[in-house]
Amino acid sequence: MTPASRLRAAVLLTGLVLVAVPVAAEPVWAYLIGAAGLAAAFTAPVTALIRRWVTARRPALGRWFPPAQWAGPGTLVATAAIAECAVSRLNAAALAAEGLLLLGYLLLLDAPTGARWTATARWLGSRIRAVLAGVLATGLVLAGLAAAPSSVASWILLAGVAAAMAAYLVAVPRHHGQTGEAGDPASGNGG
Amino acid sequence: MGLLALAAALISGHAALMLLAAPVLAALAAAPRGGGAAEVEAAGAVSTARCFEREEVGFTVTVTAAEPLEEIAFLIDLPAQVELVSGQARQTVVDTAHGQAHWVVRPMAWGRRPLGQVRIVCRGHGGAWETLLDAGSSVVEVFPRPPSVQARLVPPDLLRRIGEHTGRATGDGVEFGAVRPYLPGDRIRDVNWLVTGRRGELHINQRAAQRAADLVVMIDAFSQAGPPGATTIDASAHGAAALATAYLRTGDRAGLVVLGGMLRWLGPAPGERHFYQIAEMLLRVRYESEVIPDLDRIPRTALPPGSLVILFSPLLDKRVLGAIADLRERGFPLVVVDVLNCEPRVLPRSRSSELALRLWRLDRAALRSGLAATGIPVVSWDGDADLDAAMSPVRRVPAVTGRRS
Repeated sequence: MTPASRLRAAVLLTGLVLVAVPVAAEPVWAYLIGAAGLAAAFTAPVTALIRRWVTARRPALGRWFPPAQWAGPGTLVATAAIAECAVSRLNAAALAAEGLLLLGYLLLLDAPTGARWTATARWLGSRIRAVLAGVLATGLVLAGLAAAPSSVASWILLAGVAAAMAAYLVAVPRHHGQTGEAGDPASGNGG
Repeated sequence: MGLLALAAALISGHAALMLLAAPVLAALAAAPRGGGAAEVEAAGAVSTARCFEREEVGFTVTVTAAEPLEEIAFLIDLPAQVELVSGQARQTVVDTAHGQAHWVVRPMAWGRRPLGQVRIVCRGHGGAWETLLDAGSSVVEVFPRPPSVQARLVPPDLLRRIGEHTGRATGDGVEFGAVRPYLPGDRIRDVNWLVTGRRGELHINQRAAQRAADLVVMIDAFSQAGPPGATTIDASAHGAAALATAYLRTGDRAGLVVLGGMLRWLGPAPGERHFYQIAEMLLRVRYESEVIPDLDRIPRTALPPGSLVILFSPLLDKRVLGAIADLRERGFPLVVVDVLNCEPRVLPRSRSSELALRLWRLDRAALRSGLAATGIPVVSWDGDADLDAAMSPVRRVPAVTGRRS
């Protein structure tokens, strides 16, 4: 089993759990969202398998498949999980677990594929700080909810909005221009 | 996703949904942040600039950054007719300032071929910045792989150079030539004792001279037919490479003339080095033009008198028929290899279409028999079959009766 396959299996497993957990507490009509999420979770690995099978026989057809790090299905899985949580009545502890699971799922989605296992493990290890920050934030929100157990804790939402804006402005990657010339062993400058 | 969860909390008024948004947003904010974007350089290199079809070529792309990067991802996009032999299509290195990806690819068709487009994604620490480089595509000259063939056909007039073909003149070869009476100076070991005993006077064996031949391969690039990868020009290039290899291996001289718009030629010369010159010219065969070739413009060095001319042509263009007549008039021993490997498409259940196809076949047969009637042997070869077997019906090149150029 290659490192990429292991990573893909881990992403699939986490995605399935992420979507399946809220199902127990959601209304029947919301099962559709869960089904869509499950289908999305299976889409990426199944597409990768089909792509490998087709490419082995008809290499030219391989280009019509999405790339190995296809973010679309993962985004759908996470969206479905959030939608399920929104319509379900999970308790705070389950939501906290779901939030941490979502963080783990997004980290696994972002992990480099095509690298050696040790390199991938090192990359995941470098995310420990982010995970700890997530756990801390979850604890803070849990504590806040425990202190003000009303259904509308507007100050928590306001703090969340402010945190989201700050995180977006500070941490979202910026893209730089592409350089390099076709037809030549290229040289290019990024940044 | 954090923003989405936040939006869900705001819309539904369910503050507990903040538990979904909080870890993601906190992790985003806590991610290690690198400085500004680093300068990144990418360079590609191939193990060889020239190769034959189906030979393996190594392709390496190197990225060097001014500071360590979180992730460098290489993704190769292979063009058609190039296969990946080893190395994953996507390769990633993490936490380094010097990343390298290596692939071994196999070009499956001849020509000047790009080995593949490599896209490189470099991410700074914490995903603070991202840049996309295009490592371009290294072009490799892929020579046609010559099928196996023997240098069997020789022109009636061989060169005065020593070679491996048995000439009509007597000399120092190994093949038996004739018997003649003994003359002073002849070697005793050449005495034919049987004839000497019968005739009562000394007779000696003469041997045929071993001579070299001149071969000029012509390619008709006026027209092209057939499916991609197996066109008439593909077959012609493979046939030309095969014959040039076979004749050069036996010490003969081989040359190339490309009929297609502007005349291009390479005079006959011996040696392996000359094969590569021929192969390089073959790479430039595909060239469309409406110019009618004037064979008189070919210098004698490129088309020496008495050379054996083998023309690879689908016999679809009238200009090449004129060239054939011209060559014959100038007295060149000529063999035409018909490389057309397909027929015009017929509309299903259309009697007129089927009739047209039958007329086309008759026309082709008439053309071939017309050429044969003028002493020009025509053989068929589709590019896949054994070229030796295809040319076996031509046992010898007919004697030349035209004017000598």
